Amino acid sequence: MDIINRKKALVEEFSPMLEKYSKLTKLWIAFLIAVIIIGMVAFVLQVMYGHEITGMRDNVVWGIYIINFIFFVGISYSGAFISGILHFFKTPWKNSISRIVEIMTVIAMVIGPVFILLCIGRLDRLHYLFIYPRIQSPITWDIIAVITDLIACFLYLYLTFIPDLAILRDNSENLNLPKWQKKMYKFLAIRYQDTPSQRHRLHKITRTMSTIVIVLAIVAYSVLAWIFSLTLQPGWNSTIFAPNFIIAGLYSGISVIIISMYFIRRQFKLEHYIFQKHFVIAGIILQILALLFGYFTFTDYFSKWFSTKIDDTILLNSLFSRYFIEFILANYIGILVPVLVIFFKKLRTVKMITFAAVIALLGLWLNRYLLVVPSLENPFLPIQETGPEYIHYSATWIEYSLSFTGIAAFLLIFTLLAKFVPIIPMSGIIENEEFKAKRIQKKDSPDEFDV
Amino acid sequence: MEDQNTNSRRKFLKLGLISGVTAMAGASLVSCSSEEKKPESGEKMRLLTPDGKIVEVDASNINKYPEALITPAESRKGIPDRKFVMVIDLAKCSNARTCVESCQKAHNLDSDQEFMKIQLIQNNENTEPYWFPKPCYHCDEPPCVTVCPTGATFKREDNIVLIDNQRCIGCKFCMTSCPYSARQFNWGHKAKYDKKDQPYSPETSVPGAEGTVVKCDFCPDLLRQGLLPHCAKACPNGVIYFGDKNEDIVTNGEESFQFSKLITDRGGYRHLEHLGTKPNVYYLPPVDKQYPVERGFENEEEINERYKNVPYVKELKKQGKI
Amino acid sequence: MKINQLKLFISAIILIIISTDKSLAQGFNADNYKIFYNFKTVKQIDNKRLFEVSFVTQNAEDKLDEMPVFKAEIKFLNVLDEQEVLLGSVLTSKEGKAQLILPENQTYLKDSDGRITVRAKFEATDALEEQLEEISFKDLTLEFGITEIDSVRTISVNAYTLDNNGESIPVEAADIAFYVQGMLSKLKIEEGAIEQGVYEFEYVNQIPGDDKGNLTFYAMIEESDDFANVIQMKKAKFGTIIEKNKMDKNALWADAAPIWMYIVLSILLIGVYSNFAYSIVNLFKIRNEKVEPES
Repeated sequence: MDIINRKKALVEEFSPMLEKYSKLTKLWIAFLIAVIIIGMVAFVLQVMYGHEITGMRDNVVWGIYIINFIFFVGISYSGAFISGILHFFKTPWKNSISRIVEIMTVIAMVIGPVFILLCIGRLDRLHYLFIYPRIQSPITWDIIAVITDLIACFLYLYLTFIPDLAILRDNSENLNLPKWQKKMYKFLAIRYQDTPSQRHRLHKITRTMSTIVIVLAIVAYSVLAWIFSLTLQPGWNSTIFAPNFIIAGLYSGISVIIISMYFIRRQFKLEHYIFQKHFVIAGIILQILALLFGYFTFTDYFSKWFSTKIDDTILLNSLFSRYFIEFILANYIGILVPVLVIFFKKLRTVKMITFAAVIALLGLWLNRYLLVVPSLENPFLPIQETGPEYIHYSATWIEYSLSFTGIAAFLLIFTLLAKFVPIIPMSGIIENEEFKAKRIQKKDSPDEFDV
Repeated sequence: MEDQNTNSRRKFLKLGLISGVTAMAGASLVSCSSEEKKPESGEKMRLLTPDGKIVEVDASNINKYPEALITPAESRKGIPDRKFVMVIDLAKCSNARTCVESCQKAHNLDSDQEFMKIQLIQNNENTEPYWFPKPCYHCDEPPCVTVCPTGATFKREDNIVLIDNQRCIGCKFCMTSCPYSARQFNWGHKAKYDKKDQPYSPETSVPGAEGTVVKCDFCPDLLRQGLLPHCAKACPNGVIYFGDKNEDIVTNGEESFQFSKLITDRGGYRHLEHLGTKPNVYYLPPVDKQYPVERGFENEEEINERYKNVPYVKELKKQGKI
Repeated sequence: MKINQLKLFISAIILIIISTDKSLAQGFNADNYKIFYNFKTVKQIDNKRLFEVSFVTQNAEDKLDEMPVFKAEIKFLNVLDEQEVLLGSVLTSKEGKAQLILPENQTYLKDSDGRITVRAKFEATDALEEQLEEISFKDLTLEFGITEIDSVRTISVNAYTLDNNGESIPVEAADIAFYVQGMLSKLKIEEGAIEQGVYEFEYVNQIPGDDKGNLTFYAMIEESDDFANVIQMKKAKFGTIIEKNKMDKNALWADAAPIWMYIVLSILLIGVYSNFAYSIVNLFKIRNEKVEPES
């Protein structure tokens, strides 16, 4: 049959991606591991000497760790959201990017929560969260949400992997892969043979999972926003925080998708799967989200600026003086550049869109920084402390190094996962082809599988 | 027999002198076996003998530990039928910092860690600033307790909000949710945390633990003995009144007032009332101040530096008065 | 780096402690210390009389540095003209206090006015000078009365001394104050002067008292030149019982959360996890499906 041959051909096509570790890839992996090792050293130091060696102090009790937490978890939730949407509406062009999104979702979800653990003074007592839980605490909600979402994302990722794993299992004899990897394919493919009823069943549960994943992303990211907005802290106690976080998460998520699309396309030479069209569509979404995000950010700051509340005024004064450059970079450059790049048709090249995404991502990180740190530096009662480190926050190398470790770990896992399964779903390619063929044959036939 | 004795004594101490209170407090003037009184918790005590020798007595000899130890589980209940309140008379505060220092000594804190903080508050540029002692407010609707994921910080029946540092995981969420910045964190490791000569009780906050949150505890260990908290006792100006709202009496050690009458007559208020946390610390406004604000700058330069951003201080500096 | 600094710091502290220890061992330098030697007498509520000496030294430079004098022998002497009767001899406690309690029927040497003079004496040692203080007072009896007639609450005292024949003589004038006992202190509710042996006032205060409305009243003559300290106590149910508000059982800041939170959380979790279970069950169905060999 055609399909069997096509499957074989696809496996052959993608086999270099799975088999070979080029010198550059090896170097890349070594570099990432080196970064991670430095981070581990930093972590050991932090455990040994306590949080004293971070820049965090009594007023700014959470530094860039929590910003990274928001950031990574935001990427993950938006990934879940976007892939859920892609799947739910069966977008025709989604196949080329859906796996990138799903992998991104899971990895960010694994790395993000590690950063909140770094904020915790007594890691040896972590189990107390389960022994003495208090469901009034937003932290408890967040823990439940993160764990649930992690399970959901893994399950969802696995569901989308199954058809490809089955293809790989059936066609792996010619692949130059270690034995354990082949065994894994066999085990994970759970005797999936792509029969109509199996396919129907798998589609059904993948679809329900995709809705659950969307809902969970919204709930979980709102909970994360509530950790801040349910406190009385000036600058945090704002109703717009939860929707703002969701938009900001989507914004960062789409940026990461664009950036990873760019590098994957270049690395694996996938120009015939990931087209410029993909970039433009993602770019337009990025633009829309930039506008929305800008709008949400503006209303938040605008109502603070317009009001005469003294605490808000003090906070804004510090944003417009001490943090002026960061404020401009985060809330002007980080929003306007993506908007303008997509606005001009001439600029809608792959490179420019990727550049816009990088700017958006960096701007968003800064935006989170400005949300967390200046608010904590301006509590209701003025800070009158002796040490300068108690008045203003500046992160130490420990914190930076662990932050880069997070990014390195993200990239490392991404690289390794891309070696395990093709980054473009093979089953999706086949389905697309089947779908097209069918549409040409007879337009009115009932669908064989669920739409 | 002896067992029974210590047992009943233990009970007596724990119940916070509910029945014994009158006898005990009366003892300031009246008799009582003198051995019963005034422990300076967890420290050495120096005594002078008639022949001119100075002897150091270990605190455990004077202190009632371990009989009076309130374990973390017991400390969650609170002293029965009490509702503790504090009243701070801003008209009398001169930033003498005695309250801060005696609190630090009693809770074995470093000089940069203060449960009681004295701030210089200037409400706006046209009004005179005033010294503003700020302990933990032990709110009736404490946001810090709400957000604690493990119940390490808790609200007791007697109004006191305590932290059990054996339960605290150090997530610092309570610190961000306290609008009064009343909480601090033990950032690094310190040798004093390992001292085990005094068993830990949330009521004494001693010994501390690395990676946990600390704050003013209203000194329930002293309250159980019918004594004032360290800050109230130490203040040379009698700024800090403390008492039980149920019996409506507050005292600074020198004079006592009916709490409801005091805050009615003197226009007592709670700081940032609009936040709705319902603090149990009341302030009497700084009317007819007994000391000029400048009196508060007779401290070390390091302390004065803290207040450099207050408009009034800037003005003084410009005029070369500081 | 930091560790080294810490070590240096700790060793510095240890050095300081050691060096101060040495200076302590050299003994007590009386020049640096002020001596507070205080003597007072109180007629207590059981009509027993307390004599108390407080013997404390205080560093002249550091007022927080106080040292009680421990195990100093204090002799309490009843004196009249040349006569001296030893009432008792007591060692000071760790708080620097020596207390002597004598029964109500103790006889004293009195002068013609009925004045008793008692001397508290500490004999000089090599390190400390002799300390001596004297109090002279008349033995006053205070009768404390509390009545409630037609909801008029009256508090009164009768004060008298006894002459040599046992006849009572009303006190002509003495300042007196009335207190309500609190947990940490006594609240003054009335102040005045006894005239012709009597002081009386109407109790109008609104003080809650304990959970049954019981209040403990004190009548006190304090530091009087003629009578030293006299205390009397009486209990009465004059309290305005206030309703004690209990803490909310289900609140954000209580142990248990508001009920709706449990409900919402349960619904959410059951909904999501049952979906996970559904997916997994379906995966098993896929696994166990009989697969016809592909043609």
